[in-house]
Order: sequence, then C-alpha cells, then structure tokens
Amino acid sequence: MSDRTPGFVARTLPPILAIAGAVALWALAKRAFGIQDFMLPSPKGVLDAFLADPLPFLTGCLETATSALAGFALAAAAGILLASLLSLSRAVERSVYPLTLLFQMVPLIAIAPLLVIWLGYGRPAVVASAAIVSLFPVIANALHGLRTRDPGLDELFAVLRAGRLAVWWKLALPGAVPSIVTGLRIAAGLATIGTISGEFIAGEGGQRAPLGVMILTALRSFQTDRVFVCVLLSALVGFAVFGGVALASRLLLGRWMRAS
Amino acid sequence: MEPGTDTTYALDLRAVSRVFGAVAAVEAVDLTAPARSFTALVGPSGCGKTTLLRMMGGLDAPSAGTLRRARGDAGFCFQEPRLLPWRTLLENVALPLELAGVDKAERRARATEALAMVRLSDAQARYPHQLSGGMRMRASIARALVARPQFLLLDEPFSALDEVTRHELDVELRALWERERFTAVIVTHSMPEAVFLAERVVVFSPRPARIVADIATPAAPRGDRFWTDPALGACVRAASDAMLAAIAEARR
Repeated sequence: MSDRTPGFVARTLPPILAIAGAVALWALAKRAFGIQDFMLPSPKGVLDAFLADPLPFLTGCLETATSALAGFALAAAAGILLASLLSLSRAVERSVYPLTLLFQMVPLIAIAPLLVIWLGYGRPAVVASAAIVSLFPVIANALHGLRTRDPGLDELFAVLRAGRLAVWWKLALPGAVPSIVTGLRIAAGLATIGTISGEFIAGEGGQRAPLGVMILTALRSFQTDRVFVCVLLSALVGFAVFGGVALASRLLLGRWMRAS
Repeated sequence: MEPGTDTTYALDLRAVSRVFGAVAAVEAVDLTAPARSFTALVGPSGCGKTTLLRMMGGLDAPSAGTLRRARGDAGFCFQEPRLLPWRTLLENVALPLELAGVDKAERRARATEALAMVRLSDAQARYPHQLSGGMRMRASIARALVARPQFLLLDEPFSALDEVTRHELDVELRALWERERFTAVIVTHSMPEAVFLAERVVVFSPRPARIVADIATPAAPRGDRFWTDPALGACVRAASDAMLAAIAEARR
C-alpha cells in the first residue's frame, strides 16, 4: 500500500489546490470590486452562516439525500424491469420506446406541478421527480446491454434448449450488467438534480425542510449566504449519492471487471 | 441394408437438402452413422458441411429430405469456446445441467467430473479470460459432455489453436471418445485431424455439399506416433485427392 501513497497524493492534491484557489479568487474578487453581501457573500460569511446554526442544514442534507436515493432506487428498479420487458419483444420495444423518449423530453419543471396535483406536496412528489429524471438513462443503457451480445451465445443457449426466461436470466441480464451499471451511474448523478428541482415545486417546509426548500426560503429573505450554504451542500449530497452508487457498482462489477 | 430401417443407426440422413434463398448449401445427402461411431466431415470451405452439422444438432432444419437422430441429447462444440465471461469454469461447465434443472449438488459433482475428464480440475475456479485458448476449448468440450449426451457434434473446434495444442487436444478427444463412446461427428478443415480422430472420413464437394468419397481410416491405435504413421499419410492423400478432384470438376 505504501507505494501507492504518492499516487494518491498526486491525484488528490491538484484538485484541492484548485478549489482553494477558486475560493481565494472569490474572496479577492468580492473585496476588490466591493461586491455587497446580498449579491455575493464572502467565503467566511458562508461558513459563518452554516456554523451559526448547522443542524437545519444537516437535516436538509439528510432529507434531500434520502429523497434522491429513494428516487434513484425507484428509477433503477423500474428502468431495469421496463428495459427487460422491452427487450423481450421487438414489437413492444418499437411501440413503447418512443413513449419513454417522450418522457425524457418533457422538462421536469413542466411535469412537477402535475406531481403536486397527483401526489400532493411533500416527499412522494419529490421522490417521483427524482425518479422521472433518472429513469431514462437506466432504460436506455439497460436496453442496449440486454440487446447487444455475441449471437454465438444465443446459439449456445438454443442448443441447450433454454427457454426465453432462462435466456434472459442467465445470459441477457448478466451480460448487460456493465451497461446497466453505466446507466445507474448516470442516473445517480441526475437523481439529486431531480430531487432539488422537485423540492422547489413540491417540497414541504418546516422543521425538516430539504435543501431545495431551504434555498427558496433563504432567497425570499435575501439571505444570500444561506443560499450559498445550501447550494454547496446540494453539490456535496450529489457527490455522496453518486459516489455511493459508484462504489456499490464497483463491488458488484467485480466479476465483469476482471473479465474485461 | 436399407438405411433408416436399422435402429442401430444413430444418425440417418436421406436425400437431405438445405436451401438458403437462391443458394443451395446442401444437396441430396445420404449419410448414416452407427451408434458410437466417429465420423469426420471434410470439404472445401463454405461447402455446406457446417450447415449439415447444424441440422444434425437441431440448430437448423432440412429444406427437403429426412434427417433422423436416435433418441438422446446432443452436445455441441462450436468453433469458439463460447464461455460466459462472468462465470467460473465450473459454473460454465455446469450450465447445461443448470438449464436442465439438475439440482446444485449434482451439478457440481458432474461438472467437476467433466472438468477432470479434460484435465482442467485445477482451473475450475478460474474465469475464462484467465485461461489459454486450448484450456478454454477443453472447457467447452467438458460443457458439451457434462450432460452425458449420446452425441457430440464438433464444428471445427480446434481451428483457432496453434498446431501443438491442436494435436494435443486431438489426442485427448480421441482418447475421450474411446473411453466414453458417444456418437461423434466433427467438421474440420484439417485432413490429418480428420483421419486421426475419426473412424471414417466423409469428403464433400464444393457447394452445394454432395458426398464425393467415404473413406475408412486405419484401425491403428491413436497415440502421438500416429501423426507420423505412413498409414495416416496414405489416408490423408486419398481423401485429399477425392476433394481436389471434386473441386476441379466444380470449376470445369
């Protein structure tokens, strides 16, 4: 392990320096141009705003992360299931796939009000919006993986007189795992974005307000420093969700990684 | 004896033809193979012998004529090993049993046995990409034999391997057949391989495949030394002459 330490430092030091540089530039620019706090708070001001009362922020993070993960899980399950159904029949794929595309094309912001009508304000609508945003990449990638394989293997399964379900379960699905994981990673990145957008429209305030709602609340009272805290924390939540999924997929992919 | 009436024939093809669109791949082939025999099908590339083998394996059906196969399963060995990359060798070899619904303990025992048969016991926990081409092909043979089929159909199984490995596997395959005595049919491009492995070499014309010669191979024991045996050479020459004559005639 010790011989990998320089590699680790070499990899992590430059981005840390770059972030530190950006923060320094931000502080400098604010001072040099005399920008007011409600336009651009100082880095220290943002930190102070967080430290003054960290608990609501951390609760918000937790709320947003939970919604994002739930939406992601929903999209993953529904996406893999839908893609499997589509892959079983060309005719079904031809008719239903354009519909899923349409789903992808309609902006979430346009659908979100409907979610409020159907599901009311609060978590279910937020989770649904995270799921909607994450769904398409899961379907598209899973379908690609389920479709693409060596035709020789289909022939092998035909010789062994495997039924459709057996071909799906023992050949198509395991063969599609790398593609599915690619789709899940993209979905994980989108889930947090979908959650925050959903919270803007359908989020509930109060004691356990999620980050999206906190942003709006801070905005209305011109607490730009608090907006900044929420924005930075949203990014952190996004990283955490994406990182968690990436880590899980790496563990899951062991067999497939070794093969490639 | 009238072919098709004798039940000892494991394979019985009568006037079998196969047409793909406007192209005739196989034309009026009569061929019978007794149970436990080893037959090699040779001929110019693209002549339709693989099509014939696929029909024997049930992967394709004749356009005309009748093809009968005695009861029992067929194991099929393709040109490539076709192993599933995410499965260990043991799991790969057990696949046919798994699809047939054999329970796990028995699957394991029989796959272990099949791997021992092709001398791959040490590699059973490894993944296909960790193995040499020869080992992968041996695993593929183990998979074809794991369900103890009555038939083993081989479609140029060793053509992608180097000469040394190929000869080695030929010796092993022949020994395996002498021990297990399934009915074997192999399609190959290599005349010496055909003569070495089989009891009988059936030579086909260029497409559409017609039988132009049916030659019995020497009865000599098949060890490494048989590769340089003059009897093998003579048989190879006879089969090659028949094939070259058929090619020359097709060009005329």
